[in-house]
Amino acid sequence: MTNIVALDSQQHQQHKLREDPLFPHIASAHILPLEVTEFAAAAVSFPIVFVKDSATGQFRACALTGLQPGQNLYWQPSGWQAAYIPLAVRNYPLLAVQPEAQSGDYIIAVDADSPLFNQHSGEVLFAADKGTAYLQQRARSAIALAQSSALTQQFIARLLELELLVARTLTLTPKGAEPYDLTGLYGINEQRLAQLTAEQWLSLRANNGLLAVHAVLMSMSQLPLLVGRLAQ
Amino acid sequence: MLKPTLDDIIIVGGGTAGWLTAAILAKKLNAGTAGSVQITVIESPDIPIIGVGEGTWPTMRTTLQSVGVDEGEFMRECDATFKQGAEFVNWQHTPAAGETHSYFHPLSAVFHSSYDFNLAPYWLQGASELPYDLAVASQSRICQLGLAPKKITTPAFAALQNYAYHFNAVKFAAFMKKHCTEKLAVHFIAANVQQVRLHPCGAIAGVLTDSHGDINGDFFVDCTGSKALLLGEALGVGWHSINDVIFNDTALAMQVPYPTADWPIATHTIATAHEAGWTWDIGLHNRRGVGYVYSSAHSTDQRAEQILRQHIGEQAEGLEARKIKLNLGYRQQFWQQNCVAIGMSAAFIEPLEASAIFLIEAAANMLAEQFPRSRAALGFVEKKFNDTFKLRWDKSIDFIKLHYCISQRRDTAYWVDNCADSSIPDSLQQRLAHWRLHPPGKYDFDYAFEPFVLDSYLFVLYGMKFNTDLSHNLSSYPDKQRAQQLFAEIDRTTALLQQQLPTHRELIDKVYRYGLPKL
Ligand SMILES: Cc1cc2nc3c(=O)[nH]c(=O)nc-3n(C[C@H](O)[C@H](O)[C@H](O)COP(=O)(O)OP(=O)(O)OC[C@H]3O[C@@H](n4cnc5c(N)ncnc54)[C@H](O)[C@@H]3O)c2cc1C
Repeated sequence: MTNIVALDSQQHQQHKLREDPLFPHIASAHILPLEVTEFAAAAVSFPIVFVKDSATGQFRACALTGLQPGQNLYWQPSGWQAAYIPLAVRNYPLLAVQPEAQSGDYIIAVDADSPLFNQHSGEVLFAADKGTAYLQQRARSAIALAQSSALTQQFIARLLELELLVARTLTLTPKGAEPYDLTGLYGINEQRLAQLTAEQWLSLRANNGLLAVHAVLMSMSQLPLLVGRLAQ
Repeated sequence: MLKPTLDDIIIVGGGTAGWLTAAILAKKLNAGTAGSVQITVIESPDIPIIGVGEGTWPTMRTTLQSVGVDEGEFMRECDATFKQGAEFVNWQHTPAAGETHSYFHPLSAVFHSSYDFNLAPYWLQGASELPYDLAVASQSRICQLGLAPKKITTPAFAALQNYAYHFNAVKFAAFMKKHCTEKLAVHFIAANVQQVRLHPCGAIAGVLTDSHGDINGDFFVDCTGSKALLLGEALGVGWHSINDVIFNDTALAMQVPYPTADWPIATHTIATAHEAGWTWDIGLHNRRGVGYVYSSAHSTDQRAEQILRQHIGEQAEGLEARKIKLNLGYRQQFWQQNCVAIGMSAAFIEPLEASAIFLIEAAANMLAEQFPRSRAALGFVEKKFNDTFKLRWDKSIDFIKLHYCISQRRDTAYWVDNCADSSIPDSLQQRLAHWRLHPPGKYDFDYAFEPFVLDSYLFVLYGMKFNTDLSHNLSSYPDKQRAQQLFAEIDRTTALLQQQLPTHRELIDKVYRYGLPKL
């Protein structure tokens, strides 16, 4: 469970933030959120898919890291098994939230239940009521991520407008077990992409959308590799 | 000389009927593209729309989707909620003081496909312990629990349980007007029609307005509500009254706000029978629409208001009731020459089972599909349209009457009169006689455009504990095991849905906030 609270220089004066290169908090995550700015880098490591947020019904982009809920095939006790580490994973347990959608202000929040956030070990967060240089640097990357998340939403809205998203079901046949379908995944419809008018195609250029579309398509070549990991 | 093609369609009236018809015609006839018809809606800036019809049928989902409406936006702008059926309270017998009893008529036939395998004869033989509505449809239980028909991740217009909408009628007309004029190339003129000009052959040539002069057209749709300005007044088509069958000729309507913003929203219309009529209760996002429809021959207005206020309770304090006279019946013809009436101008039975808007959609769809672009084709389509809609209204009247005439209530003259054979159409009496010895089956509903089909009849008949005696013919129903399996499957589905579905209020709040996914 997570327990997101706003960081507070008074309340959290004694708190420290630790980093754990093993990322234990995602040991059983079969999808990891990705932002559109990460697609090109992430595409060499994972299939990039779209899923609906179960709380809002809104689409978001994710790295597919497992073939059933509870399974992360890139996570090993010995260390992360992919070249790329999604930004949200690296920022954890910090995140930036915008209290009012239109304002440029962000609040830095933390998952207070994370063992990375504690009073014993790690980097000091506050000194003399002010955020330390370490906290400022972590806060900047959390804000940068929140800003790219707005770009991701715009990108997805554009894909929906152009009817470029399509449901994809993966039928998996694990050795010695019943075949099953992994549903709820969406990908880019290549056929539809080929039918776009020149004008629609060019409209995707904004915010590097064309690169993102191709990154998603290319990332599909990671699927057989992901399935291959299951056999290992 | 009248020109040989029909290119200019004038719709007079901008209520639910006018704007739905405009949208359906514009979409199907490709208004705004080269060579297409021109569609104009003329609406009086002074005469308000009737503004009470708040319950729809699932056809509305298809209609809105096909004319390109965004479901989330529509719901938010029209205070709309999901309707999964109706609950009929106290219809079966005279309730003892303080007692209530009820049955559901849910919209889902998905888990109840009586067309493939009719569970009714097995239920009649006691194959399930549950009442009919709960035994054969998960949705009755979902309604009882106040759960939504889908999840926030279910695509727009898709359903886990079949649904329609409850909406604010005034906001709906405004929403459709915006959609029609902004997205569907429908022209709009705000003016009062003062006179209708006829061609010597009896067809309508144009209408004279107060602020926009003379407006000519080739084809006219009369959506002026109960006035029926064109078909009734100008063309003199008479009215076939049905007040010998259906008695509720007056309505008292109220808008009742929820006590708190997170108050649960009912996901079905609640229709409660009273001494001289029934009350509707429709849950919108921010308020309920509640009203009493009654027979003025069996109740004074004063007594009716008392019943309504008693029914609502203290939440009615300080609220005004609006009185509406209802003209029950239908036009002797719906279409004459180059004019067709759609909406209250064409017909009205009474609000039970919310058939009016759904027949508006049906009329507009048929008009669009069969639209005689060539004047020479008018006569043929006119006849077909008149025949089919007479049939559809007659069948709707039978179905409405069914709710009353098989009741055991005899507490007032109203119920005694409603159950008297003399008030029951022959067509219905014949069927009821047959159903006393055979459960209804699909061959009893063999007309392609049957407004109410087998499932609906089964829910009402057996919800009302109608007695079908099968004892002489038990050998015809050997599939007991299959029936039991189906009943068990319905129970399992119900349990699964119960785990997955959010409450209706929860989903509505989310839909207003996030919209519904396109796929
Ligand atoms: C109490 C009650 C409850 C109901 N509940 C339901 C329900 O739950 N479900 C359902 O399906 N139906 C219901 N109905 C029926 C439903 O309300 C109507 O079928 C629906 O609203 C269609 O009305 P309309 O558009 O035909 O008429 P109206 O809403 O009356 O619109 C008439 C239009 O004509 C215009 N007009 C009139 N005269 C002129 C003129 N001279 N010049 C220009 N324009 C003019 C008006 O300005 C208005 O725009 C109910 C009806 C009543 C009375």
